Amino acid sequence: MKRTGRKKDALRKIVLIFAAVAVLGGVGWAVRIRVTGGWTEIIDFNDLQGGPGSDLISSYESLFDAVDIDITGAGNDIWEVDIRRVDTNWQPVFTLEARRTSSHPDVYGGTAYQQVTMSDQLFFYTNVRANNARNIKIQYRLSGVSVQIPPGNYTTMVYYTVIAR
Amino acid sequence: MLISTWILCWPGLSMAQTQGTSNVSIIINEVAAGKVSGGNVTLIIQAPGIAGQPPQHAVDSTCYLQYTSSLQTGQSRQVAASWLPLDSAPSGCSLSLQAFPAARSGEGTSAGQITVSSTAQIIISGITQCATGTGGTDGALLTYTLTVVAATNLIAGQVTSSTIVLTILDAS
Repeated sequence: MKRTGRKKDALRKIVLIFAAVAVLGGVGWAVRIRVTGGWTEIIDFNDLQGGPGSDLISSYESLFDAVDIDITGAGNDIWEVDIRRVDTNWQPVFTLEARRTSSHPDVYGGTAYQQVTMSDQLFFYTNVRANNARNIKIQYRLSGVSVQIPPGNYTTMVYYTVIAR
Repeated sequence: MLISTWILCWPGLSMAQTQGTSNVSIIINEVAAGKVSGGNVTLIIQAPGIAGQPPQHAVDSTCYLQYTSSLQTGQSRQVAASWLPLDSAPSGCSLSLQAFPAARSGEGTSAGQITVSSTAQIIISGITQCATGTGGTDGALLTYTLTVVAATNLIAGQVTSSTIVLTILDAS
């Protein structure tokens, strides 16, 4: 009886150890994203297309590195990054676009401006396993500005979601 | 054993971050800007063609006030005109001014003809959000009329250079 009990205990310990290793290993490989930066644009008299009488410039670009993204923990996964926005106070005539301005081995897509909508859309991806990518630079472009837009502070939050594929 | 396994796992789980955010903020400030196209205006009082008749008034309609206005919905602006403090019309004359905004949304309406004085008077009201344009005939046409009001006070050969100030104001 004692020998059987010891065997069961040992077996239980082994199972738990394997479970712990598996879970920890899985967590360690879970692909993660870190997003830093943003964009604030102030539009005023200096942005008139041609002085008094002219309209405001309609399109604005952020710095090429307005946002910095790190993808880590890719482990054995391939991944994609989706993009969407959630408006706080936004104008429906605004069009917000984003593009990836840095190049990384085996990271594809997102180098041409694409509209950031309210629903997740594929932005860029890799098809190579264990492809951790750091310092992915993102640039924004806004269009649709005119004097018809009431003065104010318009904000939206851009969400980047990394998904293991 | 079970407890220690969870203790090991939980901090690791909480570190997984699959979503990040970045804020985009667009700040649009109010704009009120104007300029006069067409340059200076020269008005000359001519002698009457027939003796005994009053000298003829002079009219100029070559200038346009071009303006851009961006402001909160429900608010409006107006344009006022006045002499510079030390300026005036030539002796025996008065200068009147009327603005004719284009009939386009937000560019306002004429407040009628005024006699220019040192007190600012409204010539356009009801300006909201607009950009009149910057072409040669864009904006509100300005018509200046120099009228002889007292022929006996005219001074032949007198040349008076005066400046009219046009100001875009928030309507109260």
